[in-house]
Amino acid sequence: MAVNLPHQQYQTEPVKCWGRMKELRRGHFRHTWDAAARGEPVIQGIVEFFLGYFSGIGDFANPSYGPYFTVMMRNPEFATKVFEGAEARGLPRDICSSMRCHLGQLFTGMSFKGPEGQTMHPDMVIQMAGCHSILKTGQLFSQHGDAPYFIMDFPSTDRDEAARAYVKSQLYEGIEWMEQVTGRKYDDEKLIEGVKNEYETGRLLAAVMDLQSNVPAPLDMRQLWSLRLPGVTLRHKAETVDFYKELLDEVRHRVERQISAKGVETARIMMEGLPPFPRIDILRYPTKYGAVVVGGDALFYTGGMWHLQDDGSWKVPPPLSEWRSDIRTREDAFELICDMRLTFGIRPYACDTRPFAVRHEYVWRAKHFGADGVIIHMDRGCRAVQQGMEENKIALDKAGFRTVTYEASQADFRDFNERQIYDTLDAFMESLGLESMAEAPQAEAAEDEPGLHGAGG
Amino acid sequence: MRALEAFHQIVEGRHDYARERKARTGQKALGYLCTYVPEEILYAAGVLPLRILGGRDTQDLADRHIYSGIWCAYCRDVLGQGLAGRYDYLDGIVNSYVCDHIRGAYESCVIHLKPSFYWEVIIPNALHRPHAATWLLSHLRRFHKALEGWMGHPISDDDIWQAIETYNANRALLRGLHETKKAEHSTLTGADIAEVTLASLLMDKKEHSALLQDLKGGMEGHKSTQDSKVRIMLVGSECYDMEFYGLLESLGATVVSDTLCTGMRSFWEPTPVDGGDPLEDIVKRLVARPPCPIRDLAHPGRRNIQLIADHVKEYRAQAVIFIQQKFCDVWSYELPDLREVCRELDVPLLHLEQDVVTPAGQFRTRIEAMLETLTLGV
Repeated sequence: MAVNLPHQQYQTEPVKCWGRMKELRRGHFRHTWDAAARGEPVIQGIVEFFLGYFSGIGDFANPSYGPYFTVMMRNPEFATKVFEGAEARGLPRDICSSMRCHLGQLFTGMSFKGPEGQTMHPDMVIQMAGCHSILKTGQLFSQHGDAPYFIMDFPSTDRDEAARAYVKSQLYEGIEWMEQVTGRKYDDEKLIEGVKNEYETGRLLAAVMDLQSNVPAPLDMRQLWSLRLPGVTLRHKAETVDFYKELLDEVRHRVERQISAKGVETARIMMEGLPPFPRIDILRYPTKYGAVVVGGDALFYTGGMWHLQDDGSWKVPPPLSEWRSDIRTREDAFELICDMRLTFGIRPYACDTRPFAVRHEYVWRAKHFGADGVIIHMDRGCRAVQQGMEENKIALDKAGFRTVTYEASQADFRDFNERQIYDTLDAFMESLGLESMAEAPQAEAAEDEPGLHGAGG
Repeated sequence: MRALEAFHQIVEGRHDYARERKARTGQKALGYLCTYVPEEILYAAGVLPLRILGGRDTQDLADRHIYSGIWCAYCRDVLGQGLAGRYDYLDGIVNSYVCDHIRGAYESCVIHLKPSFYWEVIIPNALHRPHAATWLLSHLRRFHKALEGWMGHPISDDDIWQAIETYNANRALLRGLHETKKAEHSTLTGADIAEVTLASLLMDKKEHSALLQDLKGGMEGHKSTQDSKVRIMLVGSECYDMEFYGLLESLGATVVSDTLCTGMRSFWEPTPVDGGDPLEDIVKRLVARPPCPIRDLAHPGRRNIQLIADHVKEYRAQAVIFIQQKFCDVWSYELPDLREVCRELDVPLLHLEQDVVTPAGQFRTRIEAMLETLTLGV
């Protein structure tokens, strides 16, 4: 059925960098399994925003949410076995669904077994303070996975010198600890390079995402969800910086030529909250109505580094040469880490959505990206993201944005009631004055990756 | 005993007590949401610190502001009470950031109730490491300064030392009362002690201590009525439903110890008095106190499960009841190890989920079944 309203057609074209993204992603997965055989340390823990810091210990593997996380997202039968492994130990279904994936892999022994017979036992568990769930999970992993545990804490609200001193003292302590655990000497040159790359990766990815404010949007959220992956898993690497320079050039060029994500843009939609990873196709659902999902908090936070302002607005940080040009020592590198975490106020994994600050950001974002409607995921699988979600919705409603919520879970496919959710979205899209242009996209076929880690990738 | 009746009246009519005391003393009242809030600083400032508790009546006011499908019952309950206007006498709200549930409830309270003073004391996650204590001290100095600004007068070290003395005296009395349950014959029921403890969270500590002294005097010469009851260790966070304690007693069980933050975790550890900087000593207490599972993150060196095991042994508990605030995932992460330690100690573990309103019928059936297995030795 064609849409009744006249709508402008735009040109569209494939993303040229796509193949490079897949190469980087594949390389990361293979490296994860082969690292132990090469004698490189395996760091267990969800530390995506700290990869530059670990560079000083040399090449390392970081299986993050567990090596089979992405497999779980794409294979319900496998996921069921792993979830039941966690539940059999007494962990109830209402704890974080991603952490149930993680602990289920531990309790079923999957965390240590490679798909080709490799073994990978973590040398250490390091967990940065993102939310209470990942901290308790790190502790359980350390205890039952027999690896020493270190917490990297961040003051969640304070931004003063005392807060910076607290962070830096832990960074120093962490180096001593890692040297002791691994028997390796920490290399400050590698730290400096890794942290600089981390800054540039986050900044460039934010610059790419900021271009989504253009009409037509050069990309949609589903494309960016994959394109952001090197920025999640390899943000400390020089090749990742090169990749995002290339992507930024390409997307700027798309904007100049009005190349759109889908060839039509009847409405611009924000999707807020972490998407349900096992049904990531939901990011394309509004396409049925010719609408484009331009972005959302989970996309913009996980990978992009923004300078959050007091009024709720965000800015793309300046190039590193303009921000802090002289980084020569360990202390300089730590200052840069503090800049990223405290001054810019980046939040990991879209966590810490505390209503005081974040509800203003939701409104700013909807305005900045020109949203006609906002779809909000009420995530049964996550406290941190849900912390202020109802208040965010109230703020959006008060600001005059059309909103709708659906209930599911970021990582547990059993919480996704397809018919109910898509009926809700259909009603919402129609309430925006849109009509269905085509059948909804079907669930995506499994991709050709071996399926490791992924932040829902 | 008359003092027991007085405690009961205060728990039942806590809002009346707070309003009456405000009128009588002219002091401000500050509500707090978590026992990691350093009450002594508030008390030293000349305000009355009160623990905000839920009302345990059906409410739907909170659901619009926090996601009821996964949010802990205590947090939904207190927000609902706040939105219903039951805490309209509070001049300010103080939270301590320990988990996302409580922060969500606190920030919604502040946004909608608009107290004239609010503060969130950030308790570091890595509380077991020295750097965390250093930073917490600097954060408490900021809190201290903000409180002075709001009150419009300085809060001296002497003021804080006096508050510490008042609080430590109260903690010692409460701990003494709690430890009477180690004996085979004790005068007070578990329910009595729970109510006295709850009252301590809702009252001026000096007034509470005076009543406690009366209670101690009144206990002399009273005989135990508890000899044949099944001894229960109660594990979890908040449990402020006196009907639940009454249910246990009516079924032939009594609580001999707990790890509740409305119970022993609120008073167990005194503030050390080193005579230097009182804020430093307050930090030492926060580090040493029986931890909430979410501030017990070391491994090795984890303390919460060990604390439960020690109390089961010291108080000769015959069973453990894990009374969990529904959706409190912080405690859910303790379940694998809690189950293991109970198996090792050979005590049954009953897991009950407590929502805003207690499902009394379901609890009765499950507690009866557990007690029967103990009696029959199956």
